[in-house]
Amino acid sequence: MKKLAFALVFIMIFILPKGVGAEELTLRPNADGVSFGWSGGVGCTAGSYYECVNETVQDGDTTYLYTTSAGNRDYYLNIEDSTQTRFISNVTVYQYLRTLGNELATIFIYTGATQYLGTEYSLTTSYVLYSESWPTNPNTLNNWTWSDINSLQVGTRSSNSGGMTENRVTQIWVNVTFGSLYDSRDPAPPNSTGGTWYTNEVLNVSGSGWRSNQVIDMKVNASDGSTICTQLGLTASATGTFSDYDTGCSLSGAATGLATIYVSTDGGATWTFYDQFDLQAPPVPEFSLGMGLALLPIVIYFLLRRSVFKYASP
Amino acid sequence: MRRLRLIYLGSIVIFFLLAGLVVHQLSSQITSEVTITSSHSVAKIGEEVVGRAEIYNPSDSRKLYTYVLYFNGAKRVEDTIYLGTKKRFQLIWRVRPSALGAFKSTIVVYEGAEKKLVENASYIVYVKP
Repeated sequence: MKKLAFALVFIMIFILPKGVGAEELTLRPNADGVSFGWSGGVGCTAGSYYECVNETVQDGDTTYLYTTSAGNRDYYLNIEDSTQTRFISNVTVYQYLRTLGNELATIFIYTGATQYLGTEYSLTTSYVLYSESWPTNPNTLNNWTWSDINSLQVGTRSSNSGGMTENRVTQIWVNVTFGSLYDSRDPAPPNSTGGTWYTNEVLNVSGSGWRSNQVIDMKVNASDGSTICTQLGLTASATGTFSDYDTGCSLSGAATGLATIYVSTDGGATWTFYDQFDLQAPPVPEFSLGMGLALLPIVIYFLLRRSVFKYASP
Repeated sequence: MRRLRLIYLGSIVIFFLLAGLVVHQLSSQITSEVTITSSHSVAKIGEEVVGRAEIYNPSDSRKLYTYVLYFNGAKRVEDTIYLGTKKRFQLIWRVRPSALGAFKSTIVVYEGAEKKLVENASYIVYVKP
């Protein structure tokens, strides 16, 4: 029992805070899309076909969409909206697919009223997880925006490879990877208001979910609205992370209270809220052994002086 | 006689009050300070050069500033910021020059909504192979 309690405390202190840095958002189908060219669904009906594939844990052949038709057959599903605002570095679509014969299927996305096909896969007779990634919006050729994500639809193309039998999909979801940047002392990254810094320190930041060697700009505002510093040209690592990165931003003289970190990925044209931290005046140094030793000669001096006067007095 | 003395003392008090007011007004209108520095004066191609500019608001009122940073004459960023009284703003930039010759960082700072020019300062880093 004791061991279990220690293990739980260990997990809470050391593992959970680091794992909370969720720079990935999972979005699931929440409505049928522009068309449905597959045969139907088991466990769902027309108008709500998305319900067959939006489960959080894939349920195999309990609920699924299927097609038995020859030729290229597509269906489209809308995915959930998000209120996120951070920089999107990647969009990945995941699907659990299988075939009853020897068929092909392709994951696709639908954005800007255009279909973009991924790799064509040869399916197997048991469910296998397939995925396809789009780091940028193939329609605009620019970085993804959250507006793009909110209007995004996904689907599967079933292709006849000769002797069509049946293709099935049981689960679909979309992972949107976005960048995070927060003060290095944030106890619950990516964007809690925690993390205490003092006005005699220089701010360090951490983050992840960025592209390899991506260059971003950062701005820190104090609680009174004054801008403490703007840092241009922070470069992420090859794996898209910032690890206790020394910004060179001195917090000296800034107003105490909740300070805010903003990030720009367009050269400073627009700034987006990313994190907050608690800025405080430096703590009064505690009485330490060192201080005690330093004060010792003074104490001895006064004691000696007192005793000298005592014995000198008549 | 006593009345004259009172008038005299009153005049002195009023004089010092007015003098104090003038000094206060002048101190609150002290020009904002801008400094520009760089980690290198000479750098190699691809080497990271860290530049820094600071704007200080010495006045007794919150002020609006607009700054524009240029790299070799091309605008890198333009932004407006508020600075509280006696507050300091730091602009830090990290660049890796990719061409030989002079790499010039210029910061132009304006004050207020009417954009009164405060500073136009440059720093040149010589880039060598």
